[in-house]
Amino acid sequence: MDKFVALTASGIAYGAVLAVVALGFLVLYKATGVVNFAHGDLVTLGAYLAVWTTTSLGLPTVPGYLAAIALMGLVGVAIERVAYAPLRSRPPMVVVIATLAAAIVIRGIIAVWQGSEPKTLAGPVGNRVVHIAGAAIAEQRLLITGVAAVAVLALLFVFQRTPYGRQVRALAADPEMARLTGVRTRLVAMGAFALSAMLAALAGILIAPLGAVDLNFGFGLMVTAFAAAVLGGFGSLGGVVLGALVIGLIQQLFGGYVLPDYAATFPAIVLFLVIAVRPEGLLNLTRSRL
Amino acid sequence: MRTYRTLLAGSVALMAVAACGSGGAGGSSSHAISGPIKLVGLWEVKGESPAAIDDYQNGAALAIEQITAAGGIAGKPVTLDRVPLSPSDPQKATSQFLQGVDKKPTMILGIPAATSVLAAKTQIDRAGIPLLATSSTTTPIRFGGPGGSKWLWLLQSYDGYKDQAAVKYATETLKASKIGLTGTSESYGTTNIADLTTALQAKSLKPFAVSKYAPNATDVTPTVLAMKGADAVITFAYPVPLAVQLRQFTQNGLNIPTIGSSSTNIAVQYKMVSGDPLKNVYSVVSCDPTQGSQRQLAKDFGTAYQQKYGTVPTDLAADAYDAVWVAKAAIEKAGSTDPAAINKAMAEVTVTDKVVCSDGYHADGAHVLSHDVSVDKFATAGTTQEIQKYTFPVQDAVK
Amino acid sequence: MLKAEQITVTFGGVRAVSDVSLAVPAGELLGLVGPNGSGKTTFLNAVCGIVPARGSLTVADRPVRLGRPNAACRAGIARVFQAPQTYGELSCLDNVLLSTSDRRLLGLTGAWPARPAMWKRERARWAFAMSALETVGLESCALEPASLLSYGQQRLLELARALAGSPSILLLDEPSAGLNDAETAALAALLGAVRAAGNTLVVVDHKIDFLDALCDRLVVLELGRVIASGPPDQVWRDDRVISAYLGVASDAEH
Repeated sequence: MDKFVALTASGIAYGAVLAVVALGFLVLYKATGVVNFAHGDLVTLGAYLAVWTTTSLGLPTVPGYLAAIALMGLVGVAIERVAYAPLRSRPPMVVVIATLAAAIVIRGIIAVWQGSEPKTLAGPVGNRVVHIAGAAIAEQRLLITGVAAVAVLALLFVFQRTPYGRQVRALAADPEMARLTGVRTRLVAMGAFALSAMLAALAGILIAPLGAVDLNFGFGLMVTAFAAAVLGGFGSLGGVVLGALVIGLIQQLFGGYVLPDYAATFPAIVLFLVIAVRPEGLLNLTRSRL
Repeated sequence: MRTYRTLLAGSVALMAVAACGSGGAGGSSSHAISGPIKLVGLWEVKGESPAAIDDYQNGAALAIEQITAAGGIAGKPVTLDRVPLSPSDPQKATSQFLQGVDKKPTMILGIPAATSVLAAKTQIDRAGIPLLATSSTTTPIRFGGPGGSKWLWLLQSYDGYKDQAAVKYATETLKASKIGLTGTSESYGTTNIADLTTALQAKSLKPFAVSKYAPNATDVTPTVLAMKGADAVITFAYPVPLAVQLRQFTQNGLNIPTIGSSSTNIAVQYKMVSGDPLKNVYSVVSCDPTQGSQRQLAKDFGTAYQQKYGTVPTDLAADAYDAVWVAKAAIEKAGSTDPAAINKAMAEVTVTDKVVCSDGYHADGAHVLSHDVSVDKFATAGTTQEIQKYTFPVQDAVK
Repeated sequence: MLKAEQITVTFGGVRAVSDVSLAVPAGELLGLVGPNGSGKTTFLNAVCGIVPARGSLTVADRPVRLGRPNAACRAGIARVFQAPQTYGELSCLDNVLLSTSDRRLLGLTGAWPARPAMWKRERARWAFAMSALETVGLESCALEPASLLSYGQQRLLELARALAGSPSILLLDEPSAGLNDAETAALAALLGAVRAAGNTLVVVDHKIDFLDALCDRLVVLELGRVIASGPPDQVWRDDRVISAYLGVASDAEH
């Protein structure tokens, strides 16, 4: 029983981080049509910025985190201006390749700025644990789940209840038409890049205290989150959150009980199966896009 | 192509000269040490690639400084040139090695990764200049193996000995019989887990449990739960997930003695893990150059390094430092700058003077110079104490 | 209000619209007619920036860049398509709100740091959008997804959305297509009311009676050129118009 509880708790925490990464990915895709392969490196950059604000600038943990997230919003806008705006009218494939280039540039900048040695990010709760049904669960994991849940709800609110969300939903449904009805595409794109980068930073900051930050930190997370997004139908926010939780739980439970050596490959296998068998996503229950 | 031809011609000429030399009167007189001696280090300094570190160059430069202060090699001045060679880019290793050869060195030192050594093997054969590699000593690059070469010498002790040392310490000193194995699910983790399993079988034991995780894992709960009930755990993993594993052991109230690889020292050095999770942690390393070492020479090196660079040296810095001293001993034994003579001396020389990572470097049939493995114990403050030293038997050339 | 000069649209080697010049004074309801393929819809597309075009265009004496939907939209050109272009997944109210003319606090700052101010504006926008929905008679469906509306209702929704943008000029493409007589009469009444409220409209349609009753002036296109312009009864007496509609060759004069 305690084993099941422990594995479930870690699966949910991992899924929660995946959900934040996947939503950042999706927000940008919905608003601009860009599949941003630099998203993983934005996760890395966010974590490094948090290391920088809390160690070099000496800010306390939580204000340091918030400063890093705010900075990442500016980074998002800068990327929109420098890398996306000039390519706006180019075919999507060109833009996707540009995002790969952006990923390499971001990684190179981090390497020059912070060096190649892994860094550690202090968590607000340290190494404390709570015991639930006999299982020891790190408080950081509970924190991750809580913060991610708040972030997801806030995002749902922004999309369902604000004029910004209304415009993103219109752009996602029909970009050409949106332009004719006066949706401010440039403003929406800038906002989406900022929001996406901030979500990337949040995910990086949540998970970094569990391990360490190095140059490849965010990339693997992005690939797994991509699998979660595809599983969720690459459409509805709710579907993507469910997809992320399913991937997190499969990886931990299947990895804990059945085939431990192959746990790391499950997301890729799921991705492959979903694309091959049900490209519209397993969990695309509603037609609602956002 | 042109470089390649020039090089080939050059090396043929060198061999011819070498043949004349050894066919002549005693070999040493015709190539007696005359001009300055040039060593080339194949390693990077910070900024040359994302993975670049200063440790190798710092260690080697310290040795050169000390040798110069003591009158050089065989009384001649010695210089250290450098060609950047990235540990993470084996595709470039061949051309970077050739750049080193173009500098016409007496001996070449370095190459930080065994995969790069393997990649440059053909050119190492052709260059005809002794290369003392500071990479880890993997199975294929030993003499007689697919990556071995008569010109290639390996400073570090054989990787498989680290597995044997871990099993030896767990069974003999910790008296464990239920030994769990964990590691990363790529080649580093999986090859070592296979070797550890073999080493356990040699003691009529089976692993208590085996569990692997991804190199970027941030949650190894399944592994931690699988190790419940073990007397000891041996872990060959990358530093990041290793730190996660150690922390999660503590969080789950497990205090199982854990023996790691040199990744443990890296994880501790970069503060990925500290405090309570280090309470019962050991590592098997080829070298501990800190003040916790049992060797006085290692402590002296650590003091000098700290004075010059302001940081505690890593085992990588110590390897580069030792490589320079081994080169000095071989050149002096050869009494000549003739590559063939130096290569012959590499096979014969025993080096105990000044070196940090071995009680005595002496090449075996597989061209491996060190046979020592140390066991470090960690304190919660992150310092290490060398608590055990094993010396393993020499090996023959691989067949 | 709208002044188009020498608008030319070329597809490959074909001139779909050729040197069409048109002026629509404020408050006018202009009918644009012509046989199939005469370039009516293409002309509308050119004016609202969907297709690249040459020529010059001003709205309220300010020049508008051709070929840019955003520029046309900002200049106050609104368009109602023949096939309704509504967002089925958004509610009717949301559909209308998209074209609001109050452009402040629509971005992320409105979504989070400046929420109270955004809500204040948003409430004003809602009220305005609701009145647009009332104008077309869809106020009872405001919160339903647009996909639940009938074809005719979707067209009305699109009209409401266009009106909510307080456009300088409203372009309607075949608004009566697919409607029965009663619905057409209701639409005529609605457009009359819209025009009476001070809007300027250009309507493309096939139903002659519908346009005759509604328009001050008709412009007739044939093969991408203007062949007649004037009050309806005068236009229908024009020989070139008659021959264009009856298919009689214009060289019958000879």
